[in-house]
Amino acid sequence: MNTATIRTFTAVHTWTGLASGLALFIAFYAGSLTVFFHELREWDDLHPVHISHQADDQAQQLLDQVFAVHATHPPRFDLNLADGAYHGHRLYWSERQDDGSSVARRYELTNTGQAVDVSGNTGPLAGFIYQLHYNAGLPNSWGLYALGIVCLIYGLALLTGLLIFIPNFMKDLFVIRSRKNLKRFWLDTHNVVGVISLPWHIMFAWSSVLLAIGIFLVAPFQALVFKDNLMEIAADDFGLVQPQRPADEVGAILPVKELTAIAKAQVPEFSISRLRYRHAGDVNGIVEVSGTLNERTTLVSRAVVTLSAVDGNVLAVSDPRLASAGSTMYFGLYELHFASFGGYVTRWAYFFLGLAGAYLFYSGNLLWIESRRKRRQSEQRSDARFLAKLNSGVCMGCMAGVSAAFLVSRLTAGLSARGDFVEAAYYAVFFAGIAWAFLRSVAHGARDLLYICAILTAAIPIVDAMVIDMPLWRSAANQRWELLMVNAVAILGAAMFFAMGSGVSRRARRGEANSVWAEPVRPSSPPTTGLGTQK
Amino acid sequence: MIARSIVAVLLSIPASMILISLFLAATPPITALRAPSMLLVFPLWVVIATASFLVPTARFSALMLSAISLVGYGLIQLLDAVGVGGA
Repeated sequence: MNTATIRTFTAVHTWTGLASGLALFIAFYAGSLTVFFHELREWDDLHPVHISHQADDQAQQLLDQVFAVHATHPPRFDLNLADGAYHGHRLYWSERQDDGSSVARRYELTNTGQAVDVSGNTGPLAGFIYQLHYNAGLPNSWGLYALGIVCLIYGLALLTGLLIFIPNFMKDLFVIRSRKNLKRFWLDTHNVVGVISLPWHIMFAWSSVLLAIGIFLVAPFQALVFKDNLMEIAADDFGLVQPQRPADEVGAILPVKELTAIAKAQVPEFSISRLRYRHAGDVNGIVEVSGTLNERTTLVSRAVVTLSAVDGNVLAVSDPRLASAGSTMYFGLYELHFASFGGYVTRWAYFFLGLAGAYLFYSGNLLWIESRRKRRQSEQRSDARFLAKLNSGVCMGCMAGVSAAFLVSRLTAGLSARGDFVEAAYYAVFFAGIAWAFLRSVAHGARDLLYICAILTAAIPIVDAMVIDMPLWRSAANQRWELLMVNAVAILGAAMFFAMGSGVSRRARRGEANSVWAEPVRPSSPPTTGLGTQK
Repeated sequence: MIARSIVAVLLSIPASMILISLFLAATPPITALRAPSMLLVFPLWVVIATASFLVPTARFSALMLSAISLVGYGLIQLLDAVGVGGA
């Protein structure tokens, strides 16, 4: 590859990285936490009583008791059966309000077999962090699509990044040179992280585009080749069933036991985890019985049997072992995206890869700043200072905001507006972080924000110990692993934020003077020239 | 670079869709190929968009990508008219 081509691809890699980096930082940081969605929800829900494992028969008890109180069935509801992650059966649905908002309803069965409304106790944190993962904090109505477009650009950044690295592939692979030349150091670590996690990033870019804006990429094929039968083709290939409209004629729902028995007869080797009812109580009601195969011989392990809720007639069976190539490819990407395989080993790997991905986008912006550093004068370019402040404000503001959301969720447990408080805490800290980064010098702003991240994150286990009387050792003694895990990670995270804040502070005082990261020059100080270090 | 980037990002989208459509229209209607081909739009878009930067000017790049789309679309219509292949 000639120099001009490499220069062109470097320019493309630069603008694509700058255009997508900050949104992707938020998506990856939130995504690395979302890998532990169930654990976060358990931490946030905080059952005062540990629920014992409930037998399958008890699921019917839950349904009967809840719908004895509610006169009509909601148009769609989920019955999640007890499994390894959750010991109790849970019934969920969402109710649309007059103002357009929706309210989640959630019911559980206690150890004594009583259905209880736990809607008010449902923790909003895991859902909010998941939302941050797919909309980067942008408004829900268009945030997902915006992030889909960002992921398109991310794909371009990945390929151009690989192309400019290829000429020095063997020479630079896994090499991290001296920290004295900071640009070289950031470039080497950026390359190492990028190359090690490249296959994972390719999968992520591809699956994210499909999940976020896939419909817009596939819909044109209807006009181009499929002559108006794309939906039928998609239904065939992906084993989907379009639910019929309700007939407004009452149809009694079959018991859970019968529905699961019919589903098991279709796919004998699967563990059922969810029954999703649509138009239940109507003669056209259907139930999607889904679960995972007991023996994993394929990447995709989720099987779905769609039945009539009234007579148990089998409408469709989606068994991953017999699935079409398209279904295997689509759901394979889906499983890879959501780390739905390999248990905790995979999830921890995704957690660290997610953080490494966030570092990749952060360090990419740092590289741009370092490349534009004026080495012979203390006054740096205004665009470099702007990006340094924006990068610190957005990235550190996001991390501090997430920690604040954890704290507020715990402190407002039991309040009906808990979800609103959690969101308000995140956005308040996030925007305050950006404002602080712009009000202060780059070095001071970044240092302060990292220390704020450390304080807020360190407060998570302290608040747990004070508010719910669950210090680390008691969580371990009571086998509350989700509490132990969140708090242990928070302590480690706080220590790392503190170490990074100290590093930024040290660089500001002792590092190269002619940099955006140096202490700002006071008017009384003599002007600095050359590459010497400040004493 | 701005012009070349806009051309690459935008005009590669129809070009990649047309190329996949042409493939589906020209090959026998094998169901196993349909969905995987459609799912390949994104990687193909990335490759075409990146390759378009190898073309020296934005205008020439726009011409090439437009030509791919128009000729491809014409071929799909032609195949449809003569009843060859088809998805």
